[in-house]
Amino acid sequence: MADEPRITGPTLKVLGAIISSGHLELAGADVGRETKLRSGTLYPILYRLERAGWLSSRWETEEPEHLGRPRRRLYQVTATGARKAQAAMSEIGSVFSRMSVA
Amino acid sequence: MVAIIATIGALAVGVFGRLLGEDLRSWVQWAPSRLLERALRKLPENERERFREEFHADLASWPGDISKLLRAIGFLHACRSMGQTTAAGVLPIERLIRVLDIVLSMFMLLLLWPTLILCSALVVCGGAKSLLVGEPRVGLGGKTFISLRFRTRGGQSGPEDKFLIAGRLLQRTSLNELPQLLNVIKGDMGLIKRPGTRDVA
Repeated sequence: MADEPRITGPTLKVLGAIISSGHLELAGADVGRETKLRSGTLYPILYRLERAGWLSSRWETEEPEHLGRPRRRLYQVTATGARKAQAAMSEIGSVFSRMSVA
Repeated sequence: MVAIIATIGALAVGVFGRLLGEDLRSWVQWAPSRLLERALRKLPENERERFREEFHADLASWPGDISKLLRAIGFLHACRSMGQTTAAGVLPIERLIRVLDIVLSMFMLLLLWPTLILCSALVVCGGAKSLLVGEPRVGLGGKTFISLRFRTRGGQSGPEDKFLIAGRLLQRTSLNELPQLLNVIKGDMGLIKRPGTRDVA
């Protein structure tokens, strides 16, 4: 486990895409298409979130010989990740609501 | 007359453009996997296998060659940043030594370029088969690399081990070893001794 990941705009996008996909696990490329993030930004985020235990990943189960292409690595949000993402988002939400009141 | 020249010109441009286009296309197809391998080198070794497959699968999911290429360029940035996350890559002292190696050898090249040109002229005018010879050696980190020297033996004709006119001189003065500075800049060899390594090169 590494340090807590910093919550940045792109990080929120990545978390949002993976959480909103529900039980459907996403590969890096899918998250990229969803968030419009370039690979140079996306993979470090996925990597950090996984090291921090917010995401988990696994290989897709089919063998590459059957697929005729390399296996995709599928990402899923962990319970910790969901909780922390929720906390981060409500914190941001409260900041924004205070701003609109003022 | 003008029409003929114009036609020939257009044909030439067409043929050339077609060749260039084909080259470009094959390059665009070939470049992403090369970039990917280059990117992976920035990752700690235990992560490379995983990301090799993950990135190849990522590339495979994009239809166009250009988007694959852009995606692969992104992998370079990604791996640089991921390598820093784990910080298990290069020790700071090793990085410093590497920088000193580069600065020193650049400095020596800057100082010695007239000598290098003179040596090249001697070798080439001596009728050498080629300017440089490459020999496999064991370098930093136990990796094999091609060490570069000026050619001292072996003319375009005659036996391979016969000295060139200036060959013996170059060898005796070790001036033929100067191109190894390029090996240092490339990172195959070091000028400064690394802590905890035996000199094998």
